[in-house]
Amino acid sequence: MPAPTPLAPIRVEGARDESPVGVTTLPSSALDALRSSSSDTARLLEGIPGVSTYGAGGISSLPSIRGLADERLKITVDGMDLMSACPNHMNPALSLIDPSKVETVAVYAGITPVSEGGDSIGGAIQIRSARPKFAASDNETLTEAKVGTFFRSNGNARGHSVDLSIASTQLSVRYSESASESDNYRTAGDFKKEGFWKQLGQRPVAEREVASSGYAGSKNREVGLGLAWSSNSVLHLTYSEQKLDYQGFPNQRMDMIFSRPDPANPGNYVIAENTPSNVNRTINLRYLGQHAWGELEARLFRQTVAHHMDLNQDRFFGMFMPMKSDASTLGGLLKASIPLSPEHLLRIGTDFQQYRLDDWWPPIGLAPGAMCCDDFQNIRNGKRDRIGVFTELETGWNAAWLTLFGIRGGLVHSDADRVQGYSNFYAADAARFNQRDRSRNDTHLDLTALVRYTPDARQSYEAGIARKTRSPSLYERYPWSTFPMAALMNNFVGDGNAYLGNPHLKPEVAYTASASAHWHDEGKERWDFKLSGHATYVDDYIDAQRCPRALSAQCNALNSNADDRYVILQYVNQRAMLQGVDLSGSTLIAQHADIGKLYLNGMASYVDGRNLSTGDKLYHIMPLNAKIALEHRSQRWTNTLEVHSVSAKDEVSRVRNEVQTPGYTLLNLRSSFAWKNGRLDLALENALNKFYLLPLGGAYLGQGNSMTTAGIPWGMSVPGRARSLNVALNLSF
Amino acid sequence: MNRFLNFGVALALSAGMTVAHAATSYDVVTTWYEPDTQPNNTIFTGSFDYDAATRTVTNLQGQLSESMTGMMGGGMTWLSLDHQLVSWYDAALGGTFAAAFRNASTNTFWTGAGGNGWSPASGVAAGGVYYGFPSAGNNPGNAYALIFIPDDPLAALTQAQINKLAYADCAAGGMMGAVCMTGTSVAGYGAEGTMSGYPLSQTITAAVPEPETWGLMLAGLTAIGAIARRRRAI
Repeated sequence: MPAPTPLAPIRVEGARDESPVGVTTLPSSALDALRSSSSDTARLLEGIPGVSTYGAGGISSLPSIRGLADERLKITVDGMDLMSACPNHMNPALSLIDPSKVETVAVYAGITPVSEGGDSIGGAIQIRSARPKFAASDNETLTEAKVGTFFRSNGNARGHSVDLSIASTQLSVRYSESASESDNYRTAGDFKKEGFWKQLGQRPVAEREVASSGYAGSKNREVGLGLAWSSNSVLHLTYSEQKLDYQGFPNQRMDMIFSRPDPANPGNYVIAENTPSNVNRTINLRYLGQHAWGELEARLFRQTVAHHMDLNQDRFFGMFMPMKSDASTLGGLLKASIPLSPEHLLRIGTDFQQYRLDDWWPPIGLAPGAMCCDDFQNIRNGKRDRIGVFTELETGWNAAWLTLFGIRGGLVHSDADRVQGYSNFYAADAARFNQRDRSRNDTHLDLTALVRYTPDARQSYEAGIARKTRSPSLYERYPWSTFPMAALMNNFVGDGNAYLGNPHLKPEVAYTASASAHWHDEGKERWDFKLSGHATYVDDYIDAQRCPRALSAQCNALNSNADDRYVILQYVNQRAMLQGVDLSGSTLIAQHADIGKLYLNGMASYVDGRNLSTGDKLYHIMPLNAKIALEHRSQRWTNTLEVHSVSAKDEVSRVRNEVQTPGYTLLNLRSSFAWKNGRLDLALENALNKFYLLPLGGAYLGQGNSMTTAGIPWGMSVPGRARSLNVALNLSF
Repeated sequence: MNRFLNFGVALALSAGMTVAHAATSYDVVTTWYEPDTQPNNTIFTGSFDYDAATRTVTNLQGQLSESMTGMMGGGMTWLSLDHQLVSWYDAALGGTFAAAFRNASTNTFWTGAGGNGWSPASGVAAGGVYYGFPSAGNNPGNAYALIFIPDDPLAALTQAQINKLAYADCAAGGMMGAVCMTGTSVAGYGAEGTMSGYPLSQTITAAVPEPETWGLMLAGLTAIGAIARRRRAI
């Protein structure tokens, strides 16, 4: 008998699920197909159960998690807690990074651990671009290049991206840029009410064209420098810039567009072509070090935003209303992760954010009236400063049980200076605002308790409870004018109404309970099913009320009682309850050595949101929706046939005169071919060319005289896209 | 010669009296409710002469408030509307329309959408955009108030009659960008005004004669009396 041949030892590692509790992550590979369909980074999240997006501009959707959206979410880009600097939130955090740059997405659709941020109640979204890579050995230089381009037929959207990096073992340099633009998109059916209002633009807008939905000149550039002076310490410095010439907003009364005084016509403004309307710059310095005692992460970043709005000429030829805002944010984080024992991991840290905002509207015309003769100061010297400290203990009791307990304390200070309107016409409102004490100090106390039970390799269960706090934003506290035209310009929810701030707002305090069960085969390859349930009660939820009659003569009986027109609202603390379920799953239904594998994937979400103080429904709650996809995977091909169904939205917010939308079903076809150095994506979205209205698309205000409550008929919703053929090619070297 | 002169003076004065008798003077106050500029409304306060026999309106003129320029405590800008350029009788509504303009021309609204450039319907169709659009330099800054005089001028207006009252203000202080401030009703013209304003009320009262009018009448009566006495003496 021959001597046995010794085999090299094979090391098999098995460990409990190390991912944070409650998080859903999407790696870059899962995002490839989604990138070909949209230049809007927020829309990359739509495949995650419980996540939907509010309609806005072409690249500026606002994500919503289980009915809580926008500033109720902690949204970070490369760890930076970026702020929107616009009364209509046209430049939210996710609009500041191009989808081609996104490497990973992590979403806490349930309870966010306190170490991942405070001052939010609805969850967290963490977007990361690629981290610096270093060469493996001293005599090696790592070089990488990626180029990509795309075209989408509906709206003639096109763009490109370039990513170059070179690195040694200690130094990494990276440069990337991307550009995209799109014309207005088309819908598959008529949706506009009759009237002369839609003929006031500079050019005729077709019945099936969604006016003010295009954008142009979006350019993102970034330079990154990585320094690794030991195998355990990395310093990463990046400078990013986003410029955008123009972006239309079909559900807003304004657009992101730059205007300037007309030298030929004193007192008037003209559109400044090819001039950036939004310039966002960030500097981000991050240190990550592994030490004997644990891991240390430190971050310091600064963001500046110069933002301009006016009316694009789809809406109204020759009418202008320049609105400008400048903002800066300074933020930082210091976080240590210390293994106290093999079972216990302590995280302790602090973070801060210092935000400054000026929002003013230059005058128009030469005679005292609605928009003359001084700057209208919407928010003057706005401040919102936050500091938080947290500690969190993660304990892996054994292979089956993991717990996470956290506590976070925080302070938020906000303030704004005295204001003025265009003229004395605004004097009473301004005086009322100026006489108030506008300084506010909020105290936050967040608590989280999470548990994960993994009895075996085929099932796991998670549950958690939390208390979370969020302070009002500057745009919820300080807009002050009851003149409808001015109040209409403060609306980040896209419902067409006019909004007044409320300096007396208290922070929202949310109490959340969630639980999920995850069943799957051992390798998570043949089948997988996840069920989550959640309930959140929010004390002092910031909803809206019709503006009180005692406040102003414009807050009259008509405004209080109208149910078929745009109205003046004021933010107010009330109580709210949101509850729902999310389902997702996949199963391998067939496989063949030559043909490949065939999967059936599905997900569904339902959330109910109601205002407990008034009995009304909450605004912009996504109705029951489901996606079922048949996916074929072979070595290089991935082909998907997806059916997306959304039920009718008949539970709407009455106080905001939200419009109902009918249910619909869409068919999407996607195909991709990948090889070593590249990937080609083809998609036919809305293949059956179905007409539908977006449940979260907001009110259609993309054309007509948007400056008055009666200038555009109430009752139209922004529709979805007609059929679109999308092509994207990405190559890497 | 003396007789001829006396006769001429008497004829002239009595002619004046004849006109005064046929065309009675009235004062008018018309109010458009302005939800967006509360508590300031758009108000036309003016006067006119009305000949009940021929149902004609003459000398309509007055002042129009610019509610967007108003300070809450007062100080609102008022426009002088001195040119009565249109008037017509509406048998169905039982009364006479008349409009006084700021300029000596009816050019008010953009005519790119058709229309006569001033009527409320024309303004609604044009989105309330000023005449001469898109060049702001071509905007003549016109304004008008359209009032309605029932067959019995002192009678209260019916709702149908109120629905047809209208105003437009394309002067600098009544503009919002390219849009004039207007007041119309849905029932009368299919749409509310550009800032949601609509006609609320109109009050017509008999004008109290001015002292010089009293003097003229007295002189006329004296002259007629004197002529009559001389005729009897002859």
